Amino acid sequence: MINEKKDKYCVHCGDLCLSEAIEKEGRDFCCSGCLFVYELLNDLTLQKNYDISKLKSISPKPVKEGEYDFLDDEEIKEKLLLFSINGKAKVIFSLPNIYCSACIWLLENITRMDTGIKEAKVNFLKKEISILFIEEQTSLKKIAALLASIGYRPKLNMANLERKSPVDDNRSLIIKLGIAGFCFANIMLFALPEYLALGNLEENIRTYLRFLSLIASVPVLYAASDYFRSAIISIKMKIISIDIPLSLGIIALFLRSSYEVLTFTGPGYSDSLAGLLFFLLLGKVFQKKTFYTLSFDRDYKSYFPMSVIRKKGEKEEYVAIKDIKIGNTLIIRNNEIIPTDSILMTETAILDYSFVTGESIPVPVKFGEKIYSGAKHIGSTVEVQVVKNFQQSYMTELWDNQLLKDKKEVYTSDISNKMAKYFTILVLLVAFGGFLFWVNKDIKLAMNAFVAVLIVACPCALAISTPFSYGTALRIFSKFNLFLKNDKIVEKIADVDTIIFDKTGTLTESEKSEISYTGKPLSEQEFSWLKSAARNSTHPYSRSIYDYLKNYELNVIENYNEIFGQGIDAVISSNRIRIGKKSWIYHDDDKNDLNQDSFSDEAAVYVSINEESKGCFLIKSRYRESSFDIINELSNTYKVVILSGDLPADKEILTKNINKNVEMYFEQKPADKLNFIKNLQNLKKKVMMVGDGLNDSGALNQSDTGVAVTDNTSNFTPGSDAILNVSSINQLPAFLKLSKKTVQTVYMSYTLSILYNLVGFTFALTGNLSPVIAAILMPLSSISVVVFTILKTTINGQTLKLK
Amino acid sequence: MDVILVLITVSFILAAGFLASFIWAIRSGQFEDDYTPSLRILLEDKEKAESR
Repeated sequence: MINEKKDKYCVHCGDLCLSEAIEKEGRDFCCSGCLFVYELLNDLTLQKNYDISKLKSISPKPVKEGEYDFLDDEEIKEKLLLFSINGKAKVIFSLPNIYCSACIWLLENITRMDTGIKEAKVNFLKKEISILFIEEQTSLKKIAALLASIGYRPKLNMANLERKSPVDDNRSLIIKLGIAGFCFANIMLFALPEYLALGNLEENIRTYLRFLSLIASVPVLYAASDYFRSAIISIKMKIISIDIPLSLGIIALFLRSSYEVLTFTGPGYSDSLAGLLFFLLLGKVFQKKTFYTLSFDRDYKSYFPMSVIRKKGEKEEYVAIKDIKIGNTLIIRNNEIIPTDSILMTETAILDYSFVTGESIPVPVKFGEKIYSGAKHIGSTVEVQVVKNFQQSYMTELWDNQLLKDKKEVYTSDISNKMAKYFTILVLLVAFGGFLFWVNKDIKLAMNAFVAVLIVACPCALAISTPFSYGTALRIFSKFNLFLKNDKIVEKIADVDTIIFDKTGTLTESEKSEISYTGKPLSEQEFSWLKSAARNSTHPYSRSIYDYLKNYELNVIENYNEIFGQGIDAVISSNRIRIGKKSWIYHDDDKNDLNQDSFSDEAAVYVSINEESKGCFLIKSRYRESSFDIINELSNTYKVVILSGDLPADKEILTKNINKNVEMYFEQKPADKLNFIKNLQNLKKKVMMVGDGLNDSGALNQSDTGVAVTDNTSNFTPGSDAILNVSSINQLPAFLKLSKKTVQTVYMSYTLSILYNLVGFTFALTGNLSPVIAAILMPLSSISVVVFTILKTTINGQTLKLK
Repeated sequence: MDVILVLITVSFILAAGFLASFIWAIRSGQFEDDYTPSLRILLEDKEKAESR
């Protein structure tokens, strides 16, 4: 058979064109969707797209009629739109398919494809597009369909509906920092002549400068508003936090300065006040580092689509998940998630419950059996009948479990708050003590001493040491692919005494299983047939085989049949290819030379070509090279537990390689994992959970520190406190050590700051705290603490030999 | 020497002007996305270039 057909690649998406290739204007397209985009771009003379790059992996699927109808629903619309004023509305869509600069160009030109869209702006790092449109001329539905038709299917899931318009603390924080910096610099300039001239300054100039300083210190109070607010909150909640002595100090500084300037008795402390706020806010900015591409707060709702196909008579319609009623018939396609508990209405189906149970091997289900929400359907389209509303479905109940609610209240740094308690009490004691000491001798001196103590004791060094040291540690971690949700996680990691590992995907490599072929030698042609046959199946073993044979060519399949639970039967170039279970491939009378017993602990997939048995692929999950070393190293200092959702097939390998004090539990359902952690926490253990899959989400949430492990940080990850790239999992012991050292650094800087305060107290109590001394002492203490913490943490990071 | 008072006042007001423009720039979202514009500049508009 000489069929020298040259491989054709789609002009639009770069994919290999298979049988259904369409030719137009001398160019090839893999599907009508790609052709549609091409024509669309052609009409608008936007073909430049094809000069810029090959838009790989953006192969659009044709948008189905009515797919986005649910976006016309008023309730959904209201939640998605950022605003809607005078007929103009703004919406932000998340488009995971944004990959390159060509995407930006194409997307920002959609204003030319739909005149109702007034402005489209892409944020590349967030993979978002914000669209301003006129509601009379176009609609959310039309825009979503347009985006999908050009290959950027908006990601719409249940979690989108809960997002409130993002509050941007960052903006107001930066503005406040700007104001504080402006005031600090100006007041310093106004104060310098006074300090340098030492009394030789002309009277009118001196008074003028003092008033100017006072005026410039008023905006500083606005910059300090966050501290006042949280001080008031903590007083209301009857908690002593660091913000209370801070606010007291700020108010004392301002009132004292106003008094001195307005009564022409002294220069005031405006410069110290502005400097203090500047450093405090600088610390706040420093401790915040956002990783745009990561998302830490996902819960199960992010995995549910917003709409699903419902059967209505003979027709199919798209319906929002919240509108599904009991008794509706839904159509679930390959790789879609079952939105709510239902009953299977088709003969058979294969469901992947790994989201719910953690078991990675799909489960077969028969007609009439119950299916729980959260299961992912694999295979050809099936119909299911709804038996429960989304709100009462299994997943929703599992998640809305009281266990997970209210668990994580606002977490403020434990250490600094503990210190603040003692500190505040100490300061108040010293201040009142000084006042009582002087009050009988000199009432004016007593007042001076009282205020001076509040001013000088202002715990700026205390308040800035945590943000700067944790912030530095967070930056070091991110360099080595451990991304923390915020800086306080550093302290939580340092507190951990128990570490729990999930097995699959964390200790083993989920995607890359070790695979080898044994049996009769196969030709290159035969391997390429096997690859082509395996390509069409979504079974994990087929995927492994397909990946293993990725260097071989793809062939066009003439006939393809996947027999449920048995294997694949395909015809390629008139050759019959069968891949599957041993019992299915080999009939009883078939004598083969493969000894089954030698592969007992591995999964074997057998193949036959033209009814001749050839051999088998052996597939076993491979442990990451460093897995055992890390666990053994950690088990010396921590209690280490391995929880696995899988069957105890690997128990032997694990016991052979791992210290005896490591506990192992198999066949753990997500709820079991969650309860296991809860029990440990009841024993006052601080638990760190290291896991990857959705099935670990509950455990990650429940643990004190949840670390989600992922192959690719831009992939989706379950909600967690930290995201760790698998390539860095061998750094875990070093991360733990650095966290501990960082907390030590914080304690050291507290000691430093207390020394400064002791010096300050001696000046204050004797009534000798002049503005010059305050202006030197306060910035000096702040700067030295900042320098100390950053240097110490950086050096710690380097000595830990993070590679 | 009194002229220094005038100079100080003027410089203070000028600096306040800069502060105001800084606040405006932050509020208008100019610093929200500091990456995409660097890519945008790479895409020149072919049509305009041709019609020249």
